[in-house]
Amino acid sequence: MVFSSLTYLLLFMPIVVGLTFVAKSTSGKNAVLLAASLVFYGWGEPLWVYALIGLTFLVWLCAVGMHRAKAVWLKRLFLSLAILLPLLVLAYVKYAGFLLAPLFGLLGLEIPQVRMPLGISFFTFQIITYAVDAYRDDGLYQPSPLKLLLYVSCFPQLVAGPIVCYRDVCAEIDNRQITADDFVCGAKRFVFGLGKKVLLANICGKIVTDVVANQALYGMSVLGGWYMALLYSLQIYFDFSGYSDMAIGMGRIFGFHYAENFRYPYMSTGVSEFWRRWHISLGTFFREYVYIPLGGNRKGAARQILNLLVVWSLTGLWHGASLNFVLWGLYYFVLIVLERFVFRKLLTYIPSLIKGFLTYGLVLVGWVIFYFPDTGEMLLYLSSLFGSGGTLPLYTQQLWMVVCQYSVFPVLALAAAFPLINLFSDDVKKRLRTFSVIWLTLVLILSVMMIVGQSYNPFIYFRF
Amino acid sequence: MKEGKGSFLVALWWIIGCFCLGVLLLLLAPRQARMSTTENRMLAGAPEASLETLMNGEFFTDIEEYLCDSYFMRQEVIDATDELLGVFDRRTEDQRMIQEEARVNQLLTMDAQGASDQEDVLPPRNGDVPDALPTPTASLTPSPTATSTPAPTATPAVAPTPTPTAAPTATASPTVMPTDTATPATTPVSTATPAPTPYATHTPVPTATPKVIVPLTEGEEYGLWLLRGEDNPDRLYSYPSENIMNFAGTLNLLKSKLPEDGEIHYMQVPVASVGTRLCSRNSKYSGWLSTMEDALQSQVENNIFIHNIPAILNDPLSVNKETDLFYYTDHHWTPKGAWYALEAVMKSRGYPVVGFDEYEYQRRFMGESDNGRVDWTMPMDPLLPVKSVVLRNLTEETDCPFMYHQSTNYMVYLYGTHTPWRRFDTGYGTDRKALLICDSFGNVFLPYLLPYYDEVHMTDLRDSYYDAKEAGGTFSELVAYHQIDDIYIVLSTSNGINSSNSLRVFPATISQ
Repeated sequence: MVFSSLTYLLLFMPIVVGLTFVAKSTSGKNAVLLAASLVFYGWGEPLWVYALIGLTFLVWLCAVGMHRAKAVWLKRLFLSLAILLPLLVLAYVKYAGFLLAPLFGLLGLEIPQVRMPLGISFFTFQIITYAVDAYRDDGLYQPSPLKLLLYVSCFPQLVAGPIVCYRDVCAEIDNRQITADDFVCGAKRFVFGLGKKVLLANICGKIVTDVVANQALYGMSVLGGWYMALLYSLQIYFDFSGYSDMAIGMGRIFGFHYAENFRYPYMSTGVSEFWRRWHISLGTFFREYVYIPLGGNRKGAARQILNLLVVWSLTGLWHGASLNFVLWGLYYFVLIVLERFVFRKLLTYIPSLIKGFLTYGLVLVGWVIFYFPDTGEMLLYLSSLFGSGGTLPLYTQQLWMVVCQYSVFPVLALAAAFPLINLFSDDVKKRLRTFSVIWLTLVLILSVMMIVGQSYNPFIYFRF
Repeated sequence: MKEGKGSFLVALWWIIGCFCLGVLLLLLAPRQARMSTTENRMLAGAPEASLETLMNGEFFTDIEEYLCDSYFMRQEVIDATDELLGVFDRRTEDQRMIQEEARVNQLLTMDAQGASDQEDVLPPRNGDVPDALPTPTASLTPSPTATSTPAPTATPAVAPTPTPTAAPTATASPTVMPTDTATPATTPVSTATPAPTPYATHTPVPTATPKVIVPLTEGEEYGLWLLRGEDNPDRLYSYPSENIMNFAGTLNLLKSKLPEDGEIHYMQVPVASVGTRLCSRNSKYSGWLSTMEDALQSQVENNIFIHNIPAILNDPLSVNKETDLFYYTDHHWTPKGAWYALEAVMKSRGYPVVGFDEYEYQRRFMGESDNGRVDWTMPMDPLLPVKSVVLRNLTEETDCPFMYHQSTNYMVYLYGTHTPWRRFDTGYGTDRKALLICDSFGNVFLPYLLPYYDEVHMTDLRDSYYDAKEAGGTFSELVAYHQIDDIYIVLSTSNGINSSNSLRVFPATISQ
């Protein structure tokens, strides 16, 4: 089930919210939320919900083993099992085809096709954070498998994140208060995210899909290439940050306080900063559970570069089992290494505005790599951004008509990707907040109308 | 930041409002799948839960589709969102045209090169279409094979020349309407043109004994069903016996306006969203069944023939899977669909049938449906030059294109609907004149009638289409004045039996 569907908005959400408020105690609320989460996941993945339950239970057993083991080696054994089990499942369903394709091809065998369950990358990482947190701090051990299952399967963040670390929510699983403020803030945040997804991301996506799928019709041009990259950057931002807003909002309604996942990433003045603002929970996971355990930046420059290579290769692979995602991860590895080790001093002399433009340009190039699974197409498109050696026109009439067709919409969307509200005085900001329920009501109505009328409604991050 | 009580109440009402909407949808939304003529597809019905559909997740996707498809005032909601997006559109009309042209060219190029191997994305090619797209022939004269040498001496009885009450204004100068400069199909009949061999000569049916009509049982219902193998068929239309008898009365009244040997042929055509369900390769429907026609036939007098269009089109659609009998982006039938009807009618009369391939067609991009089906308009040239005029005040003629090639939609056929009366002079020398009473579904049917008549007249009797004052006479007066011999009625299911046009407007107009 997705948040931006009528089934969720008109039936599932009101029923679950109602039942949660009817349940008095935290354990009652937990029971409602757990049942709802399993229904939510089972709605789209009727069979994989059993795998989710089974995997969580196995990891819980490992955690019990860690908790009871006296010897360090035994604890480590259980930890290794708790990490490897979910990783093996993830590797099998997500990467087996990609990694084993050459081998199977040589042997003339067919790779067994397994449909990738929704959100497996997200809940696998959540399970791992629990195992590692429980290993590092015995106080975080969760004796109840049902509570652990609630943490893993909690529907607001189950299928598209943010990746919530166990230590951040364990206290709220055991005991939480839901205040009127939580409810209002959560509902507002949810509607805000819904609007981002339905009113901005989907329309940007419609333009991109149409133009990229019909290159022969629209013709390739330099400005056209950048225009499409810009629109795709907006689509993916509003799509994912909208979903994160909805997840954070729903969590808040149920009394959970999830950390922010986006902080206006396109206003970054450097690539490292971009990754501190984009998909923060993924960056946090890799930093705390991969980069730092590998030694981080404490073991010299060469080791740091190696660690960065590992982290960015994994970041790329996490996004998908295809070469373009690996290249995309390596692209950021190169940029970050250059930023940290080569141009560090030079960058301090460049004005922030120019650095911001440069960063956004580099990010757009990254999104082109991200978009095309076919390497040939990707290279063709990348070369078009730079004129293909002077063979491409600056723009085509057909593309100009697309620009006219949507006129100021991309400009409005781009403006929404920046914190322009900060330009207003405190007084204006206060008034905007006061009347937020009114314009958010309008957003909710418009979003429902768009959902009814549009078939184009994919969540990009579901496939990760 | 502290939120106010007002905000809390509004947020609470968001949740409550959503829930109420959801419950009302589940309670009030129609359970049955039904057609959307504007979208040309079947709107989802309430999904059936079974272990299989639950396990494979089909039920859950179906329920979302059902909620979306049965949303209150759905069409208005979709129109409103389209309007909203249209606010951003700053293209000029020229730019729109250029964009459309480019898209058409691209599709044509792809089609020619066979760039896509998905037959669902592009119009059917190669083996699928040869029936529909004949090789162009240069000659406008009827093919010898099609003319079955009718007996030229057998001339039907001609109705006596009437004396219309409205005096014709013969001097009225015609206003020239837009003509098709690309393909000048509207060519007045030249006196130099040698008289062609008529395709068919009417042989009066010997006067039969008056038919004894047994009224239908009151309260009984007839209908149109989509068949699903051994499963229960999906009922699409229901026709109460009262409405059928009422309409039969209208047809009998109409018959009284014609000469004794005059015939009436009635065809009620299902809309495209039903037809296209049958021809899709994975269609769950095995055919359709219509019982209305037999019931109506039993209620009308001699020389009135009710043609069962669903039965006529059943095999081409469901057995042969011909995909080009109905449009996917429009609710009309195509020329090919109309030709099948013509073939059935003419065979029933014992006339030779002019083959579909004997016309020269052009193809022009019309639209692309959501699932990638591409529609083409197929304007055709008449076999002989035809004069096409709109008539006002009885005789005031205005030229009107026979085919309007510039149009990219259904308007291409006869340049759309023109009130109050239209005439096509064919010059076939059959000594017979026909009137086609129709809605827009008649526009692709009419060209196929031309070879059988000297003149084919056309009128649309729907509410606000026919105006006796503008026409220069009442309907009865015009039928008599133009010496109409046969009447064909071609209506879509939307305007056929059950519609207010058929039940109220037509009888009122015809009786005048």
